[in-house]
Amino acid sequence: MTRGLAGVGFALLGLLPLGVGILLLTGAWRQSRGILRLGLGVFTGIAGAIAVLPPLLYAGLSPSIPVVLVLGGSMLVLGLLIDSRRKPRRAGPEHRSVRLELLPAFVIAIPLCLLAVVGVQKPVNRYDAFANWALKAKLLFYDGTFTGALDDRLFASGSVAPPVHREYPIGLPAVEAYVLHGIGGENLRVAHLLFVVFFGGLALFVWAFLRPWVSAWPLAAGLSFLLWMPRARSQGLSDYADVPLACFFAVAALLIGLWLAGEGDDRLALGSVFAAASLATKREAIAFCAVLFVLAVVALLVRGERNRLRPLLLAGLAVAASTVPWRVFVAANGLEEGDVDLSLARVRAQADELPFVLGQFGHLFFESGYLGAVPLAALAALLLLARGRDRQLAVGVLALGMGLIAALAFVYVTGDASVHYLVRASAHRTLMTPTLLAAVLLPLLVTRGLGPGGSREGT
Amino acid sequence: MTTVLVALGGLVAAAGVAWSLPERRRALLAVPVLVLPIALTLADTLHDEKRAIDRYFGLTPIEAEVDPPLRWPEYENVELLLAIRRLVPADATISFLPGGRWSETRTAAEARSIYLQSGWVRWVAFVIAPRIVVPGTDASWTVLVDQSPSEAGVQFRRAWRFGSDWLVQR
Repeated sequence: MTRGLAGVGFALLGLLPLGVGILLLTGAWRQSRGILRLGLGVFTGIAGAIAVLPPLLYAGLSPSIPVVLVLGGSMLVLGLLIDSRRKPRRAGPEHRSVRLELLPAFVIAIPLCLLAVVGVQKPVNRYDAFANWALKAKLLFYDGTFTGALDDRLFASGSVAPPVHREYPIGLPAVEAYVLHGIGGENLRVAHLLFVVFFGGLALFVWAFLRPWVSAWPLAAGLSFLLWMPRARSQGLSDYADVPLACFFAVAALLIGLWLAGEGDDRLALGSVFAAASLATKREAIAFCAVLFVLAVVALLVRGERNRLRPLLLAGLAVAASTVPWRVFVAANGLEEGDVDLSLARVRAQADELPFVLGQFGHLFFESGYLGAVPLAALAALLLLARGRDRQLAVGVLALGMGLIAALAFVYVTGDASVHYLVRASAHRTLMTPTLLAAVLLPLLVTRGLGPGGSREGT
Repeated sequence: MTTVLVALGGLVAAAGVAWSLPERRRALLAVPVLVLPIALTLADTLHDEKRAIDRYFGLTPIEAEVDPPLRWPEYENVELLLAIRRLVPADATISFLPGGRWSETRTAAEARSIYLQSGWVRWVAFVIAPRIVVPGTDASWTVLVDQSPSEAGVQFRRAWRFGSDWLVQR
């Protein structure tokens, strides 16, 4: 196990150049300092690798240590070049560097350390894990050190033989395969630590980017809420892609929301990287990202900020373009879209199932395992509206929440299999995205709902 | 449900008393609101995770990596899996030919297609990867399910029996 732990640590460090390069390139490098900066670098590196490794795999390269180091080195050099030419920023409150104090460090470390102990010896024991996600990771790990990891027989041809769902994006298996390269063997039990890192990365991003808006104690309480959520913890170690998707999308929505609130373009650029990572993780992200970007466009139009539409549309285009290699690969190889059929006729035929789908969602939102994250966020937003403050924040959160839920319901009614079966079998995990996003926003919403007015902490 | 209702009640109560506090302290009310749901579930979370730790740390390598995590009583053959991992080269392909009770009412092709899509074969493919399970019959290694090489009419170089199943090298 010691070798496995060292291997995971080595693999994560190997992602640091890529992450730091992306942070420098987007301009978000100076948002944090100290250990927090390293944490953001690693998580950004994971997101970057998940977005970039699949096209490299399609091009014939392997998700190995040398390939990732060369990729990271190139990104780091590019980032340093771009950053050195950037003008010094104005010293607004959102541009003050945030550091990780002792209190939040403990708040983040304790639940994550316990989760790591649970995960480090956990076997791969869920159906979709061994039939799909972890199997693909294992297969990508074994074939090819520099090139040839993507075996056409397993990934580029429809077949009844495993792995299942060859049409799914392969960002997560690619990064897991990279971690297995770091470990130097197929120890998928220790590789569960990667999933603990997703939670840690999300928590660090929330701290780094919300700290200028929320004071330390409520934000630490919010992180505890996020990291101790029972359903998220059990789902996080399932080897499924739902929690990674939720973490990436929550960061993307947070950063793009901050950009909409008037913060710098680095938020939009970095948010787009995380949106692209979510798209390379799981297909629901297509619907989620569409909702996010459409609502952002609507927000700018309603506020009459047409001059900001151009960067947003460019970012949206870049994010959409990141899916092209995957979609081309799926179409070119005739991989079946097994369980979702995006025909309007199907939606019409199954529209009467919507009340059932939404009813199940509502039922799950009130399960204690989710700690009431979504109902609490909705109530806090309504409280803001009732008190007549931060109306844009409240309306934005409610619109995004309802948009995500509607998008998910739409995905279910386009399903090829029985809607009842699909919802009962998977809604508890697909709801992770709106749930974790609600948990991320809760400290901001609750402190705004209860506290005095003002735009930012300390202003 | 109770946890969520208590959490919502906590937020409403905090909103109710917030006006009586100095403005600078109101935001601190968020702390009990956010900690309350954790407090209500933490004991169960810790209990569940302690049980999981005890269970996972007590597993032998075979229990953790080869024994199926779900039950497929008609299919399971752990000895066969261990043999495949031991005998079959990592770059080999493996096909499955179900016979016996699997092909009594079906053609051989139908039986093979159904068997390949079973949860057990998904588990087999995971355990024996990077060896590749192929849908056809032309692999370098074959598992004869519930039938012998002579019953299957298969030519082979070597063969091993594990219960009612056979592993053969073509």
